[in-house]
Amino acid sequence: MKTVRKLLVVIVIISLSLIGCNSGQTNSQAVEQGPILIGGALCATGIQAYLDEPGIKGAQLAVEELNKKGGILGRKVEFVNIDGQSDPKLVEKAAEELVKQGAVAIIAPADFDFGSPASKVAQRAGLVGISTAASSPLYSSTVLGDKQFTLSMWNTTMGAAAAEYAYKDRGWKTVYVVTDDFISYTTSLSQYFIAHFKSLGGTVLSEDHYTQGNGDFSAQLARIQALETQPDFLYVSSYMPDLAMIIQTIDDAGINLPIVGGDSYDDPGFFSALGPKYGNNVFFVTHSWMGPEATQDMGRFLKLYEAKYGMPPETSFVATGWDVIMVLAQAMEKAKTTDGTEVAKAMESIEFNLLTGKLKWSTADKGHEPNIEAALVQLQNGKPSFIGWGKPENLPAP
Amino acid sequence: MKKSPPMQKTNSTQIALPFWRQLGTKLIWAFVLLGTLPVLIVTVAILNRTGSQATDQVYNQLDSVAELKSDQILRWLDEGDLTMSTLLSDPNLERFTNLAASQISNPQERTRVSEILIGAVESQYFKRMFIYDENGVIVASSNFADIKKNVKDQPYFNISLHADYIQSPIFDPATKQLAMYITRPLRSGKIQASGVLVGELNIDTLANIMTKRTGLGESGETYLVSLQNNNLLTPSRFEGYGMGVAYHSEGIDQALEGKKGRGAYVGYRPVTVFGSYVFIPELQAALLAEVEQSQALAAYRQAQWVGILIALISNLAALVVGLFTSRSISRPIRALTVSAQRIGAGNLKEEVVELRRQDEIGVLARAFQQMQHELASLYQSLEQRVADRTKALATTSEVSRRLSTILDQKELVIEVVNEVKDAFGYYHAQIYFYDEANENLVMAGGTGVAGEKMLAQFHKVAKGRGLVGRAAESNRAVLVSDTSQNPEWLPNPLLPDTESEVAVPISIGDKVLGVLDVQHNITDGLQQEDVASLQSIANQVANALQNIRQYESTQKVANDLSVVANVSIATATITDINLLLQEVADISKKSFNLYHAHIYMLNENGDTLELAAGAGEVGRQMVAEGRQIPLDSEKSLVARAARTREGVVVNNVAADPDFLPNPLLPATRAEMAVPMVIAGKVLGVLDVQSEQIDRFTEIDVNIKTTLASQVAIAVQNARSFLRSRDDAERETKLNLITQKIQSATTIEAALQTTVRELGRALGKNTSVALDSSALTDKHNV
Repeated sequence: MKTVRKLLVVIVIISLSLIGCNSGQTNSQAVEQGPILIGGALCATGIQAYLDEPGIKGAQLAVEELNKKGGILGRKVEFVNIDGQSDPKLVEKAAEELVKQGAVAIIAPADFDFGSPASKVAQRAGLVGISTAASSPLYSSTVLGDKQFTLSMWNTTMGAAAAEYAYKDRGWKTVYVVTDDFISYTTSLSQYFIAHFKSLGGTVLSEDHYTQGNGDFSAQLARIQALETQPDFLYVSSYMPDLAMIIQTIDDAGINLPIVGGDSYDDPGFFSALGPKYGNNVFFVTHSWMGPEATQDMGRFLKLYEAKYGMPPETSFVATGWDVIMVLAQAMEKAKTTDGTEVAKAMESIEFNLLTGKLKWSTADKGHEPNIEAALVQLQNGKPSFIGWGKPENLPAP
Repeated sequence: MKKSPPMQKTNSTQIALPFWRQLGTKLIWAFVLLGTLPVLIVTVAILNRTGSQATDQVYNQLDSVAELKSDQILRWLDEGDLTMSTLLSDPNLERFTNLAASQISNPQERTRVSEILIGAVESQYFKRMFIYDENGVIVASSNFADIKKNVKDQPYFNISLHADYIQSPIFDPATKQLAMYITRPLRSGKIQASGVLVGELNIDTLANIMTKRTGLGESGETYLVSLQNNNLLTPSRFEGYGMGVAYHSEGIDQALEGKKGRGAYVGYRPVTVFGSYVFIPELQAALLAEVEQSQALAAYRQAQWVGILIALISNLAALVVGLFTSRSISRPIRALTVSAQRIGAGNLKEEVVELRRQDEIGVLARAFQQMQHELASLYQSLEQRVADRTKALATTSEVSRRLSTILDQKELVIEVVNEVKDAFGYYHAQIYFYDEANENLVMAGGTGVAGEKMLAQFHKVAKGRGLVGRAAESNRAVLVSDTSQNPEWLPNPLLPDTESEVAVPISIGDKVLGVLDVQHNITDGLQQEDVASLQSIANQVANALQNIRQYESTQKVANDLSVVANVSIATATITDINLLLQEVADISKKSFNLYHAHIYMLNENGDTLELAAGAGEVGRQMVAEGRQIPLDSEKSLVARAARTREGVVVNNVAADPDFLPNPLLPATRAEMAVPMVIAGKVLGVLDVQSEQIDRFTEIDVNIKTTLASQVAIAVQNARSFLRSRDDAERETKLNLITQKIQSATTIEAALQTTVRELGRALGKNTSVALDSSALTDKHNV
């Protein structure tokens, strides 16, 4: 009887294990593949942090949302950011470490100088690299490689959209342009604005210059005041902290002309620096509008954001963080793989409907030029308000 | 001995096992287990698998239905979208949209635009279409009644100015119905919109999509729940669940949190459902596809019942098969068990059952049968052996009894060998004893003619040789059960039929006296059991022998003492000392059965022992030679005995380096010297010699010492007698001389007589001379 008992025990064990196998099969496959790792080399500290840190928040929220809906390709998604510390070298190291950890795509900082090292690492590793908001036309597949993208409009769009709004919506025909020549972003932005404004038929009265850090705008102010006819508006391509000073100086001089600029204006520090006194009649082109009236999905995003972080988003850069994740998710779902080449191809083929507007990239040989709507925002009493989305039909050549 | 029947156990209930211990029950159990368990396991496995498969299938169906519905909704919205785009690309409307909406002030213009909108509504996607300006004032509509109404408070107003928008269903208080809108900002080539084109979707389509059956069965349904207030956006299939009520369920809540998933949960109705859910952002609503669990698993439950039925049937079948098989196995085993129990109880006569079966049970039965036969024959041989053993014991005790009365060694030997041979039916029996030198084993007696012949031949065996020699040397029985198989065995021509032989030592403790040798003319006729019996007899023989020897020794002491008495008597009357001593020596040698006896006397100076008498011719010769031994001779036994005044024994002269052999006495092996002492004075030494080693014992010393004392007394007496006789003679002679002298008349005659008589008295050679001067002193003789 003992052998019979042993036999029975064996039969039971085998049967149970068979049953166990059957029910556990689907689970074990998912476990085998593990989560999809998306790496971020965004700068949580340093001078770049004001652009990247909101991006990290947006990306984290997007990953949570994706996982709620079952992740990507049925696999859980993980987002790991290694702080690039606003140092291109450290950004590169961060990207390398992420590749080592098995990341399938790298999210790069929102600037060509800081973001491109990460993209170069991604390209070498055969992975898609995407900057949240680098707007330099240098951030292209022709410069960085066929798997590299930027979610942001290029400065061509940013400059052109401002020109279109001024000329078409507002009917402003003349402009006085002040360009901060300290970094390439501001100089190239002015260049594309001027080109497009002129192409629309507008007149540039003067192309003046300022250098970040000077702290003195009196010379430029004097030149504006010395003009025979005042321009319809001013185009000031600069950034904080001197930007607020420039606008205050102009306003204090009694010049009440509209002032127009780019996404460097989209900075809560800037809004509060101007306050209700100076924060009027200021227009700028940026990536998105953080209000429910911006897009169909923005309302839901804002609710999620507030639920997670306990406050509404302060800049549109949170939206770019969310969007890069969603772009990758959509592309991977379409490619049905996380393979870099396939994902890059999918990214080229999809027309994305994002928080930052509708986006379509050109093919790699055309530089992955982003065809994306720009958001126009107006400051009233120091508070931003949304004007609308603009997408210039013809863009100046980069 | 008569064979007595073994104890018969009263075993009326042959199998007293409780039923659960019985083989049959166990077999039935095993069958039921083996028959049922696999079926049960397979059924459980299949049910488990099909259960999860069924559930998976239900979920997959729900997922696909949910996806289908979701797709249909999105397609519906896309179609609306497309309609809007088509409309916006209408050249008439394009012209219009290039104008600011507020510019549609002219009624003609307004009518024309409205007509376009009316045309668009015909597509059925839209209930109505309208355009409002940036302030929310409706400037054109497919429904003229809308014009001039303001939509600024509508939730879609703000976003509609900026982006393409789909307004999720909202409750329109005016129509008291749900309404859905698709909006498009009219930008006229600018960034800031100047107006918005709105299409109100025909929301009945949504209800149609959702309530249309999709193969989810009686209890299956798909429905939408608004994020805004948890109200149903599409009607429930079930009565009593209105649209204006907030509903909650796990699926609804999860989906409204934006999660996509599936699960079994209690639905908005208090029924457990399988559900698949997803959030549709465009509708700001949760889409759920649900089916009642009981209905979804109905087929599976049916399969479950079938499975259980199969398990039961197989159980039953296993029971029946088990019953038959176990009966067919256990019945013969039970019968065999009865047989085995019968055999166990000692009944070896009945036939074993089931002998003709061809399976293992038959083999077992035949083995039982064989075992029974073996047992029977074993039993019989056992009885024979018991009888033999009993006989052996009887013989042993008989031998023992008889031996106790025999006091003669020869008689003992004859008695033993004959008794042993006859009682056990052996071929031959014989006894050997060690010779005096303990070197050889001398045949003391054997059975039959062979025994007589060998005895006559003084047959002897050297120690260590042959079975007998080995048994004696080792003091252990030596058995050769089959002589033909033992190359060391030496055949005896007088005993040609010997097939087996055993030699048993006759010993007391470590001292071996001899060997009892028994031979049989049957191979293996002598066994270890015989050895035991024979050893027992041999021990009895040894005891008897001991008794005999003890008896003999007692007899000898008595004999010796009578010799001493005889010597005393014989010597009492002999006054001639030499004659006396000679008589002592002769009687001693003869009576004590000695090789030689002689007596040394201490001389008058007390420093030398002079041979005074010796037995036989040798003794006379030696006396004639005048042998003497100095008292201080170290090596001499005789001298030593005289010095120490104690008996000295050398029981093996060969072993004594100091012994000086006497060429006249070559056979001497043992010698004893005892002093003749009287009143503390040594007179001489009695020295006796024997041809036997170890001839003299303490008793001998005592007896001879006594004898020597008697002799000493006799010698003393003789000496006293002689002395007193001499004294009397002298007295008489003196008296005669005195008388003769007194009868002489002259001095001369007196002197003549004196001289003559003195000469006569003192001997013939004596010359007496008288000196006249001597006469002066009469005492000077």
